[in-house]
Amino acid sequence: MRIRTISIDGYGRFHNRTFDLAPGLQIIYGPNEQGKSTLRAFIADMLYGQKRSPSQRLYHEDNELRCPWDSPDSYGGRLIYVLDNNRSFEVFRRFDRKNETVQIFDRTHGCDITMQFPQLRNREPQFALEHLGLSKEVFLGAATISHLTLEELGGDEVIPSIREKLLALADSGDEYGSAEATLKRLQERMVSIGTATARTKPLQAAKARLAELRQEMEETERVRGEVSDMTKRRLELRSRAESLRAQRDTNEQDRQLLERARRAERLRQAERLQRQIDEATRQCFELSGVRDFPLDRTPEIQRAYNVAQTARSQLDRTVAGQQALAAQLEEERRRLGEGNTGDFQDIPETYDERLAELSSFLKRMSDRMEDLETARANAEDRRRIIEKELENLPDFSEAGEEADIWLNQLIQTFRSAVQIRSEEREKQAALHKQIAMLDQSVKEGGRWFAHVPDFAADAREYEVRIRLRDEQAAQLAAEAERLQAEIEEHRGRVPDFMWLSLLTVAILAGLIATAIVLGNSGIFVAAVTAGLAVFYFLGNFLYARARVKMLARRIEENGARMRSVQEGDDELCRRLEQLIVDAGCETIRELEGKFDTYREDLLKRDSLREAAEKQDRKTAEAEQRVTDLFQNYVRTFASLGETPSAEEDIEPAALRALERFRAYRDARRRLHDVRDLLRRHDAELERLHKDRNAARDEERALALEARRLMRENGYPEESRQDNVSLALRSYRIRMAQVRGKRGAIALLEKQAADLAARHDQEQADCAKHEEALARLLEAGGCACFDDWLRCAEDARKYQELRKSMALLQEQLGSLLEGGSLENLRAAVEADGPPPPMPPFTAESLASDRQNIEAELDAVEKESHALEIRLAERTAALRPVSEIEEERAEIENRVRALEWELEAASHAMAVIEEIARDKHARMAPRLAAIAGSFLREITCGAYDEIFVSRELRISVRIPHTRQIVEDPERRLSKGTVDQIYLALRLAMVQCLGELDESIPMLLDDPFANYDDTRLDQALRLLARLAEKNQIILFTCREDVLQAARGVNAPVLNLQAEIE
Amino acid sequence: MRLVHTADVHLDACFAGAGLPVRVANRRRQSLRDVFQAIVRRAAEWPADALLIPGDLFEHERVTPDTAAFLKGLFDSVRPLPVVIAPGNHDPYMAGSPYVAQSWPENVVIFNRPEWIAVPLCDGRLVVHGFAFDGYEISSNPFGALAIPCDGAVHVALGHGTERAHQPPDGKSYAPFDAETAFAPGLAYFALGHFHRLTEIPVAAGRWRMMYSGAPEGHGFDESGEHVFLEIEIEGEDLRVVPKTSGRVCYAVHDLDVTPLASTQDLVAALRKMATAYSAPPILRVTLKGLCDASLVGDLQAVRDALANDFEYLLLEDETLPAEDFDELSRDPTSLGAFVQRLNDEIRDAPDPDRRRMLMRARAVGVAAHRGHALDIAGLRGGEDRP
Repeated sequence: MRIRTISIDGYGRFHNRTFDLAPGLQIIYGPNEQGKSTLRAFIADMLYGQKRSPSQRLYHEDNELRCPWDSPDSYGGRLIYVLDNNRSFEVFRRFDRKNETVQIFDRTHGCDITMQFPQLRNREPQFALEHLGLSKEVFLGAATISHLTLEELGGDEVIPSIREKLLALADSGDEYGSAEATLKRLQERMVSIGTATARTKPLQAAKARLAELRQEMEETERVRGEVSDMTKRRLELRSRAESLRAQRDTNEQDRQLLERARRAERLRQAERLQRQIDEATRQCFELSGVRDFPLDRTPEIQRAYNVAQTARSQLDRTVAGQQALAAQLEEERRRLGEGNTGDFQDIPETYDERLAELSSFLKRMSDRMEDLETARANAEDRRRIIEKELENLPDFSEAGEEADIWLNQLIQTFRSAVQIRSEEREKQAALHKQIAMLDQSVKEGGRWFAHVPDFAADAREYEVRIRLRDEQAAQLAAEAERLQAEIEEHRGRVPDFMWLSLLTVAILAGLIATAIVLGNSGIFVAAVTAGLAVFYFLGNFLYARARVKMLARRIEENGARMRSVQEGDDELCRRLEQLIVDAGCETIRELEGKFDTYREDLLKRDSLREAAEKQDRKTAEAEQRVTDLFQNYVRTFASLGETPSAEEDIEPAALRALERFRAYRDARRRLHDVRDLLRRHDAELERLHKDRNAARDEERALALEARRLMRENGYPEESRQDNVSLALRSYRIRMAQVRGKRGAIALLEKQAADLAARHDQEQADCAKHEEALARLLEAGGCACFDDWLRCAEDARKYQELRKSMALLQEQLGSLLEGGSLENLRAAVEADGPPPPMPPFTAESLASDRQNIEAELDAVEKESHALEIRLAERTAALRPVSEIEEERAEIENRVRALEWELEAASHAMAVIEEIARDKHARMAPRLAAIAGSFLREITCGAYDEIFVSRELRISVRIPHTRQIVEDPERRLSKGTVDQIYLALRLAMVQCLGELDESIPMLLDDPFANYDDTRLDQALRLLARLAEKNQIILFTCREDVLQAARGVNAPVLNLQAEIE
Repeated sequence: MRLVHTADVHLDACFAGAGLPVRVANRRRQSLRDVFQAIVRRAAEWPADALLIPGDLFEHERVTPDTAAFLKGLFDSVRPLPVVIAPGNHDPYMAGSPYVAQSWPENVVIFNRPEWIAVPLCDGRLVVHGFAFDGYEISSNPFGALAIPCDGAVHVALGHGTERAHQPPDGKSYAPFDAETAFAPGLAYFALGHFHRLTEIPVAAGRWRMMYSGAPEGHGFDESGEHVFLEIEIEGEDLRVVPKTSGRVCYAVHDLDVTPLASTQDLVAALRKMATAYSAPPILRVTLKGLCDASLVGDLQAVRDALANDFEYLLLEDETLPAEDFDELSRDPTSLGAFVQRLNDEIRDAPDPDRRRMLMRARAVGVAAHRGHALDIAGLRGGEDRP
């Protein structure tokens, strides 16, 4: 498609403007804000309309901005374009929503063809889709390259960004919807629903809730069963309670019967008691003389009598005691009078204690001094032994206290150096092994690919030719089928025409004969008609036979061509097919995979060789370090008594030296300790001598003082004792004996005085008690105690009679139960003749009733407990309906989520498969086209772009000739723009190669180009524009100048406006 | 003689089959109680001589102790009005049933055998005949075995079963009977239970009648329309049956073409307009049909929330088709175009509707993901979405 004329009635800043565009490269120049973007939008809107929804008349809001304020009726215009088959069309549109119209005219045939195109539900005719084969999104995304798009490229992720845009263009037509991004979104959607491994996502949560609900349902069913059993039990209990109440009523009736019989019995007993009460009253009257006798004072008088007798006996015993004590006192006085005239005053015990302390102290002093002397002699012996040990060890005094750390460091350093050397040797060996393996692999791949100069291009070409061959074969097969059908059709006609010919010939002959015989000229007319029929059928017969022969020949030719196509005489195809067979592959894809592996192995081998060289150097350095260290250590260990001869001896020698150093350090420490001990012993011995002399002086002074005191207290026998402590002990024994005798006499004298006083007191008490007894007897009218006892006996008998009467009255009252005898008698008479005594007793009835009441109580309690249990069991239960409803709700939810999951999963699988296939098909062609474009733009500086089947982009860096996938740090912004432009132009070529050529709208894509590359880019665009119309919008003078260099027509918007 | 006839109340019914969520179903269950309570009180105030309940008063396997307590209290409150119950297939007289396990007020008569039992009421002026289901399937069908004596009393019968002539073609039969053989001579009125719609069974007995009162309130979308109980007056040789509206909530089913609707605001307005056709907030099941963008039906929960005050409950089923022209999209020379083409083919060749719906969803999801649009996930926010 080529846009020829844009005629704007009213659109944005343009009114009544017409622009004629060149069919190839058209430059539209104008400074900013001159309407370049408006023109682009106009072209898109004219082709595809402004509606955003395919089903409804819904519009993008930004379209409002382009509507002319003063004349909305003029909002629209015309656009004329020509297709590749030179058919010309004119589109007329009005965008005003109230009066929206669109018409398409076929200018070639001069007719309105609007209704020939299918219409969307929003009434938009799909002519652009029909003519371009692209939707609006794809047209805008793929065919429009704006400077804004280029500005987005930058930073460290340039190539991935370009790849993303290419993927998106290939996958969805816009620049933001790649299949990878789509798959990621779908994966996120699935994760948000909950995949099989998730635990807390909605689907799993719903399933877990479902399991809970099932469990709850089972629990509810179980509880309902329990409740049913409990309800049954409750009914049984109610029945039992009713039965027990009936038994209680029967028991009550029995009780009333028993009550009647017992009432009659009570009356009989009450009358007997009344008689006994009358007899007791008579006897009381006879004893009425002692009615007021103070019988209650009998215990008091008995006590007074006992007290007087006791006082008399005690007085007699006191007199006898006084006489015995006087005799004993006389005897003691006699025994004390023999000698013992001294004072025997106390001597303080502090003398004894202090003397004992001093004696003990002096003994401890002597023991301690002996121990110290012995310890000192032992320490002297140890000091001599240690000094001898030190003489036999090397002198480590110069190595200092940290010699062990130093020796350990030596060991570690040497060990580390040896280990590093081993590792480096292993790495070196591994690298050489990998290189050998890659050599083998490259050699194997080289058998197939080394002699092929450009296998990738060959493979792409092979694919194209194979596809072409398949298409040709399919066309030939279809043609053969068609020809065969035609042969069959003509073969079917041949016999029909033959028989018709014969028939008409016979009729013709018959008619002629008839005409001749009858001479009727009218029959000749019929004969002429029959003759014409003969010619017609005969002609058709002959034509059908000839046609069958011709078609058979064409089928044979077709078969030969088919065989030729299938066998193929293409050298490239044969070569590649042979290569596929040789390489053991089944398809070209597989062979491409092997080629990719071969190329990767080649690159990897080179890289490994560089690494191996570096590794060799590192290994040599490690070797040299070990040697240097060994020589240093031989010199060092010589002074420590070790002479290592090999690397293996270094560590044992160091360990032995370390051992010696530890022995040396230990002996030095022990010698220091022994010397210190000797100094401490000498100091202590000196201090002990001083203390012992002081203690001896004090002991002597105390002994003299104690002996003086004993002599002064009347104990001259102290001189007989050499030891002053023993003398003090004898003094104290004598003093205790004299003091004991003097104390006994004093005690007897005191006892005699006490007895005399007590005798006087007891004599007075005895008289007083006898007087009190006489007063008490006089109150009862008795002269002596025996009279009192006799009267008391009569009074006691009178009181017993009174008590007996009261008891009988009480029994009678109990029998009458608060009523009177007359009332009871009346009640018995009212009961009628007394019934015979029932066989049961009141106790048995009461017992039965008690049992019934107890059982009834138990039944009621159980019933009550059952009610509570029922309430408890059912209280926490949700109704079954509610559980079922929630279960249905959750099941519904699980189904919905699983449905969503399945849909997303299916969409993912299809998208992945399609994208993989599409990218694999597109990649070789995209790489080839983009590579040639880039080579042209950069004048050969960058000549290769590689695009893998995943659309991963690699570029060969000119100065290193390496193919790298992350060249962003090595590329300038301009080069990035050029790579992107090359790929975008190639993408349009790929998208448009099967249908109509696509016009491209470029908006200042040369911001970072130098002059040379700008010229080259414009040359490329001019060349491409021979196939695809390119409309280049720019505001730059240099682009304008360069465009003139390629003779591109320029439309100057500024000049037009001015 | 005045009688009130209601049946098939189905107290404690489960509304999962109607697709109602728990909170709505709980309101429905309470509503059933309220409706039944109003009928019983009406019977007491009218005053009726007996309240006839020919079966399915509650659902045996779901009935709660609280419902049993409610019924006992309610029947006790209307003493001495006789309440005559003939247990049906949903509330059979069997072990574990509240009919057996509970002690009922003395004014409640419950038939307890699958054979005709005569109960004289109103000092013998009224005789009620009835029988009971003794299990979910009755052990012996007593229809046709009823004999009415000529004793001058008014004889009515209660029975639960399927009248063959009116049985739905795909329905299951319970105690099936033919009207002519079941309606015994001498019977003034035959109160039936089982069918949930008011249905009169024509009999050749002249002025006497045989009727299903239907359920006093609907239980699902298959029971839309008005629901009633029956007031019956028998005076000498005359019998008059007056249906009285009892249902408080109406179930209804509608389709709504969303093609002309541009936004959810339009959708809400259209649904609100539907609600205004009912005197009280209805329970509606609306199937959305036609073509629309995904955004219109992307968040149906929000639409339901917006209409919470207009409907007792609103169930929305999305059967819309995407407005996007997938045939057009399939022509794009992109992976997206190829994806749509593949899905279009698979949808066309799908072996069953479920698979087709899944594939259509996969297509919508894939296209939305390609474009970076968010698409609501059915079932993510609640259990009311229906895929």
